[in-house]
Amino acid sequence: MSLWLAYPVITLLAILQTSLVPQVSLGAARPQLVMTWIVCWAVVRGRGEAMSWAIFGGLLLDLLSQMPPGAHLLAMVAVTFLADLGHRVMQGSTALFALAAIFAASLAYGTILLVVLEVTGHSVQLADTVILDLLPGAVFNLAVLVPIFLIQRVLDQRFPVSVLPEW
Amino acid sequence: MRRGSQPRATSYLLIAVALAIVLIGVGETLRFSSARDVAAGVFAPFQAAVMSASNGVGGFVAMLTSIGNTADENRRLKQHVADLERQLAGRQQQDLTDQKLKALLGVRDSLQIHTVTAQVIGLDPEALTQTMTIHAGTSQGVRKGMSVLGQRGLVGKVISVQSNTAAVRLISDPQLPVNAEVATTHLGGTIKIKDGQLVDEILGAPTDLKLNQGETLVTSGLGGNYPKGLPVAEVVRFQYRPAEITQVARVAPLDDLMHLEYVLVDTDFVPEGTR
Repeated sequence: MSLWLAYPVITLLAILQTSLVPQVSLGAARPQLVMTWIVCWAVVRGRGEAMSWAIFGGLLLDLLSQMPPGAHLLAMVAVTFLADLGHRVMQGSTALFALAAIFAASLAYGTILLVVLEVTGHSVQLADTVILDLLPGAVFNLAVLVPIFLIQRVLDQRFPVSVLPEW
Repeated sequence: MRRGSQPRATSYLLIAVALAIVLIGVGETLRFSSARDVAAGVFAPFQAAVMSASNGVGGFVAMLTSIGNTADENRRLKQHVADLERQLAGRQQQDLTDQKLKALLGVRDSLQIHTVTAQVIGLDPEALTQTMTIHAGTSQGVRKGMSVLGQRGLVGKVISVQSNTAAVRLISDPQLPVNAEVATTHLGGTIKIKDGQLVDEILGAPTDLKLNQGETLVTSGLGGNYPKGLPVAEVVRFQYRPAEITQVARVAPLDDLMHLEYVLVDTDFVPEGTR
C-alpha cells in the first residue's frame, strides 16, 4: 500500500525533531512534527489509519529521547485515537476542525508526558511547564499544521479509500 | 465509512496502551536502553548531517534578511551582492565555529584536563527532559559519568554511552543537582532546579554572607560525581534572608545550554560507581 511511504516520512520528521527543531525553538516551545503529522492524518482520513503510524512514531520517539520508555507511545496513541474519534463524530475534516484538534492534541500529548514523568518519579514543575512549554508549543504546532494539512489533503485525494472491507 | 475501522483503531489502542504500560513499568529492566543505544547508532549520522545543515541554513537566512533593502538595484548587482553575501555568511559561519572551538580549547587549557571534542547532534524531542546527544562515544574514550563542558564551563554529564554517540543530561535537568562552591570563598552549596529556576542552595550560610552578581560557582568535588574546580554557573541574584536556614541564590549556567554546537568531554575523571 502506498501509504507505507509514510513510515520513512515519520522517521525523517523524528530526525528533524531531534536535530533541527531545537535550533528553531522559541524559548522552551518546540513544534512536535511527528505528533502533528500523525494526528493530522487521523483528522484528515480517520478510519483508524493513523493508529499504526502512532505506534511507530511513538516507539521511534521513545528510542530517540531520554523520557521514560513507553511515554511517547502512550501519549501518541491516546491523542491519535481521540482525533480519529473526532473525525468520525464530525463525519469528515475541515481546516478549522484540524486546528482545534491539533491544539487540543498538543496539550493532551504534553500532559500525558508530564503525568508519566511524575508517575515514574521525576520531579515536574507542572504550572511552569504548561505555561512556558505546552501552550506556546501548541501554538507552534498550529503553524506547522498548515503545510502538513495541505500535503495530507493532497495525499488523501491521491490515495483514495479502498471500497473493500479489511475485516 | 468502511466497516471495521473502529474495531481496528480500538485494537491498536488497546495493544499500544498495554505495550506502553509494560514499557513504563519495566522498560528499564527490559534493557530498553540497549535498544536506544542501537537507535542512537543508526540515527546519529543523519542527526549530525541535519544539525550541520541547519547551522548553514541559519546563516543563509540571516544573510537573506540583511539584503532586503537592495530592492532598487538592478538584477545583476543584486545577484552579485547575493553571491558575495552568501560567501560572507558562509565565512562568518566558519568564523563562528572557529571561535567556538577556540573557546573550547581555552577552557581545556585553563583547566588543564584531557578532553574529547564532540559535536552536539541531537536534543530531546520534547523540552521536558534536559538531555542532548553528542557525536562521541566509547570509541573516542567517552565513559558514563564523565563531565561535559561548554565554552565556559560544565554543561552536563554523560548518562549513557554507545560506540560513537553519548547521551548527556544537562545541569538544567532537575535530576542532576551539582555540588558546587563559590570560587572565591569555597562556600559550598548545591546547584539545582527549584520552582523552574536554576539556583544554588547554601545550607548553614554565615550571617554576613554576600554574593555578588557575576560571581562564579565551581564544582566542589563533594559526592564524587564531578572533579573539583570546574566552573558551573554564575550568580544572577542573591538576597540574604535572615529567617531562612538555607540561603538560595539564583544562578545561570555559564553557557547557553539550548544552543550548544560543540562540547568537551573531560576524560580524566570518571566517578567511582560508574567505572
